[in-house]
Amino acid sequence: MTDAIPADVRRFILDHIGSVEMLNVLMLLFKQPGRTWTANEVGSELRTNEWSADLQLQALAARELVRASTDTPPRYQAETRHAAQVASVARTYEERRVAMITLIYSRPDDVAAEPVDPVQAFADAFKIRKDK
Amino acid sequence: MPETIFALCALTSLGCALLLLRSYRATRARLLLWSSICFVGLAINNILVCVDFIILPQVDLSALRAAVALIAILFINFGLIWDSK
Amino acid sequence: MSDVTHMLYSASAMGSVTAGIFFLHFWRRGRDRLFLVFALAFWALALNWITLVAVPIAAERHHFAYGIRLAAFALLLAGIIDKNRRH
Repeated sequence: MTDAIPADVRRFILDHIGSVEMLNVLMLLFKQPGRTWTANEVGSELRTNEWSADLQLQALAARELVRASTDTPPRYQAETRHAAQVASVARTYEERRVAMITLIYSRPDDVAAEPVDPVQAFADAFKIRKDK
Repeated sequence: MPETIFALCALTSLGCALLLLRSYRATRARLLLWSSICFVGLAINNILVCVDFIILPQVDLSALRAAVALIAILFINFGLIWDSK
Repeated sequence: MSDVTHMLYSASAMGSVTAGIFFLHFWRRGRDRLFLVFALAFWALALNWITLVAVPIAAERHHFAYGIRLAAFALLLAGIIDKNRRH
């Protein structure tokens, strides 16, 4: 079933993408490569909460898929050298959504996109506003 | 008056559950999922106390309430033991 | 109180104590003060259930029984508020 997904897209997902949310954020930034975004703007655009958007943006920046500015709040922009790859991923996502989602969540947990310490995550969960 | 207290406890518990669930969606750390379920269980336990005393006073729900509490506690223990890395 | 209910509350109390120990452990590993609060809250819950089992006339309505429960959840609230004030 996942043969339908090109090898390079598979590799990209397995290496970098931990959740559908993360992929949506990535695709959003690459849709308008010249534009910078704050977590707030991404949150409104994708109708998710700012807190979550911030986490995804930081994870993407850590993998150098997007660039973060040094402002406060940080503005994020797509790293254009990945444009072709992301376009390929986005196209495959449109055509083979179910297979892609299955692939994203089939990743073994220890190869997580951002190795998260569960205990730290527990404590951080109770921060009501992420930018505090 | 006591019913208000239980309602408040239920609300607090629900709040914790929601915060943990939100964070679980972003981080996929399983501990948060199990903890969230625990807090939902504790909320249900508190709501059942209200139900037991106000809505259905003729029925004794104490065994059900106790069972729900235990299930909730089992979930958080499972999470803390299994998924705290 | 039936035997089954008695057993269920006792088990919950034990489980709650255990959860509290985990939270205490995380606090001692140099992490967040929030974990200490959670430890105390879960121990308060354990005390709440022990009270229901051990004290013959204690139904939840009895003020000291639900007072302990209230304390447990008030602790959680206080911990969360404190966490957000700090960061």
